[in-house]
Amino acid sequence: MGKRLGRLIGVFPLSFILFFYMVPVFYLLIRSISFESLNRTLSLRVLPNVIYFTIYQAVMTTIVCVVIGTIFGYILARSNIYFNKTLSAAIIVPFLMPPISMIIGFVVLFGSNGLIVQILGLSQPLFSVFRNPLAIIMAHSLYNIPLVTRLVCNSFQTESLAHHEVADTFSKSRLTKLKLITIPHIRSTVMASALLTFLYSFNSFAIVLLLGQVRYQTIEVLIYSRVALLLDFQTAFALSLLQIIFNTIFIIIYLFITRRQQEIVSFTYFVPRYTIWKRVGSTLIMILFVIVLWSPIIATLHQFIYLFTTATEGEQLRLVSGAYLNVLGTSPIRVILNSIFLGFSTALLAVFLSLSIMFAIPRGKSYEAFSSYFLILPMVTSTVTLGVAILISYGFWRLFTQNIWIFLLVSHCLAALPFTSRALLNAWRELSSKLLEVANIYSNSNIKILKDVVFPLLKSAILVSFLFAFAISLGEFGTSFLIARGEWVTLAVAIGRLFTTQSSLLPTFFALLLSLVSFLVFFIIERFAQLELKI
Amino acid sequence: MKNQRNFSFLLVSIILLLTVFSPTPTTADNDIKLTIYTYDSLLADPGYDFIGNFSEFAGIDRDEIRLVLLSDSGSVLSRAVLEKNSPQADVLIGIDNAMVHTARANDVLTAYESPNLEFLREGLVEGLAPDHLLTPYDYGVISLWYDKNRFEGFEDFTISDLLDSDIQKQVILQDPRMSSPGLGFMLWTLAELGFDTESGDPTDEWKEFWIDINDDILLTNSWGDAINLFFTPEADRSIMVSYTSSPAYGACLFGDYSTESVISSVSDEMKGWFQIEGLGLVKDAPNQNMGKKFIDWFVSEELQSQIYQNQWMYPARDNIEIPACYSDSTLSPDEIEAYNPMITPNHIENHLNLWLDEWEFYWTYDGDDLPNTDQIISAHVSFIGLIILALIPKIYKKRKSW
Repeated sequence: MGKRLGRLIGVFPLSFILFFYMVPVFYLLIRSISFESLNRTLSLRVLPNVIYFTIYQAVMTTIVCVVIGTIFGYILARSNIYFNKTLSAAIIVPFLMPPISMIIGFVVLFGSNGLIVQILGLSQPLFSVFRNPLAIIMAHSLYNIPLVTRLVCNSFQTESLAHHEVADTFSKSRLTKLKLITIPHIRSTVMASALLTFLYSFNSFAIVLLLGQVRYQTIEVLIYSRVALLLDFQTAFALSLLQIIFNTIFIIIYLFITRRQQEIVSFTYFVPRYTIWKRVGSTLIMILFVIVLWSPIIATLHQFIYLFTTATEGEQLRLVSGAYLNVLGTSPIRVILNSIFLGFSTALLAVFLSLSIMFAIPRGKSYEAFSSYFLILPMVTSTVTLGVAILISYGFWRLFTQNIWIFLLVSHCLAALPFTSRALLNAWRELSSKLLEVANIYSNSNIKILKDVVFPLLKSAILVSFLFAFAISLGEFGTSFLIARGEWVTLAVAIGRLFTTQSSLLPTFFALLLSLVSFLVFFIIERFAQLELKI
Repeated sequence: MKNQRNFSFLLVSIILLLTVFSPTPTTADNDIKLTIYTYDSLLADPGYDFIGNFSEFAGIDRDEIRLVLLSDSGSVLSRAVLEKNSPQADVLIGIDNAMVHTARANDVLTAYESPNLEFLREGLVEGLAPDHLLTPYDYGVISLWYDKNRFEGFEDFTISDLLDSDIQKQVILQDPRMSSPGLGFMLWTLAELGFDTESGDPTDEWKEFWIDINDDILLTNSWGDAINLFFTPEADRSIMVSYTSSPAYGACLFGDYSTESVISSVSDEMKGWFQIEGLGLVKDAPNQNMGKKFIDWFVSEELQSQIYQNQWMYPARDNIEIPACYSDSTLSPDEIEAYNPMITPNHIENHLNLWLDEWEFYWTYDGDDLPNTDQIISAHVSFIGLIILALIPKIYKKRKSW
């Protein structure tokens, strides 16, 4: 790819990020740095409690996830269990579910008429699902444990055989080996996964908004309530600034840890031997673990089948009729069409921009390092903050207010871009430079090289990026819940709107639909390539 | 080669899918002659087709009217504010005498003086918007509405009766930040438990009241959500914040007199917070003339006669005959002394944000007693200090290794 052409192509992603991300966020920051807004925010009575709860629930979730994830990651990596690949794939599925589907599953499982109450024949639920910090931490943990388990498992699996052989030569005890070999090896991965879990929980919106019910709020929920309920933009701007500062610190630490992590990978792996009974026992434990992680999805499926089979024909027909118009603002069919349309459009746009980034960045370590920081930028702002930034910057443009889908598409694409660009950049980095040089010698046409050499080799990375962006768009909740209006309601937003009503058939149906699509996407990704879980 | 063909096929399929699935609006924007934003329970039960009837009245097709139903009146206003620079709506319905100040402060409405104002009940225009930013269409008195079969009732009720935890477990309240009856209830508690008229600071009694009730009372986003739960036996909630007119719902439709509403009884006088709901013309609305026509029609006899038995409130128009089932089942608003003069429009304008902040704080407060501000600050300073202390050795170590 010629340098000039590369730079030309780079204009697209750069303009996109500049126009739809940098300018709105910069504008928001400028507006937040005023004495009035800072004073108003600092005088908010609820602020210390909200900051405290945001950190508290994120820390507790992280502790729970790291402890459980490390234990099961160890069993998965070291016990030589049967069906290792299948179980390993099954573990990660809940993490890929949109949070809103997880909430429906969680309520259906633990709620007052939930599956647990029915199975155990209880008169009341084990704990209150709403307005209970324990429920929020549990929901976050169920969501993030798969991530930690899978990352830590990968780290355990890459432990150096040579180190263990040396230790065995000197007859070192298992405790010494754990202290001197295993812990130093997995430490950075555990820290990175802990930080990721912390980051996801810290910025959590849907789970806290719907389960916390005002009583428990995170900074993200507070920003939402200030903008959408109280029209208090000044405070929302200042809170967004606070959120951005926190996130920037976390992401810098995360990038620092993961960069170190890349330097200490070894190539001969340590695989301990286990007796058949230990293998069977460990396999059973892992199956049970997978069932627990999948329980919200199983409960949603069970609830939908139960509700659908016991519903009258009229109630069943309401799934496709306009009976929910009052709540949704449109028909359920239109909601599904909106999601498919936005999903595909987001995927196309995100892949196009990621490919442009890939071609525009010269191959070289320093450029790649810069790009990884630059592309991760959208993650610094939470989804609600991003929604606020876009609304205040471009909300006055008639083009956008009359075509709200453009806002939705842009915000979904910004959420997907860090993942899609990273997947494609990694694949691009793995492409041999020599191969491209040889291709350049034999052909003068860039298009021919792209068509015959580059695209066939990057095909699976493009597919993974496309599907991942599709799944992210489908589950995106924060920005969409804030800005969706009129007929442009997505599946995730519809579930949010239906959540507080007494109708449970449609939200369960939507949640199941989202879960199934996410599962399908994951299945295809795993079929073609390894899923990149990190950012 | 085969792979490339597959890839091209996939790409073409996606583009085709996008074209097929691209949702198109049912009516083109240019054909819309009126856009209305309101809450979803407006005239909804058993239901009066105000869009169909207005379209007949105005001689336009009903498809040319876009009705946007939102969950609550707070959302109606916030949507309009977010679109202020490029208004989409022509008329907002459901802004009440507590929210009108927010609408005024955000400059989203324009004054319109309907020729039908002379037919409205005295005091409503002054109580809602003397500057005619809103035109009143109904009013009601905030009350606690309960099912007599599931709850024995109150004797000489005052707000403090809610401190009983058994009663709290029966109550559904709406979020005052989102719902107008919820906000009305909060103002009722302020009027009864008190606040400093200068600074707006609520009394300790008010603060303790919210701390006491925040565990067991169920909070919903909107009146619609609350009524869904009220009529769901599994939810086991037999009292909700509603209006004194609400018992008429069962009485008029089903001959069911099993519900009752209660307001404060202070020194042998019934006292309550009057909520006046209005509709207003959006500033720079695309269809101003049709919007004005709609407002006039909304306070006409044709629509106002539907308020009693579809909106379950009192119509703003004076000459609408009250149904007998209302007289049998509800407290007459004429016998209720309004709390409204205690919380003047000026107070609301100056202190509403403070009151909502305070409400949010005490509603989310975990402790049993009033919090001591110094204690909160010192706890947070120590927490941050601990984090910094934990980080210092790490940073120091890092610097050494650099």
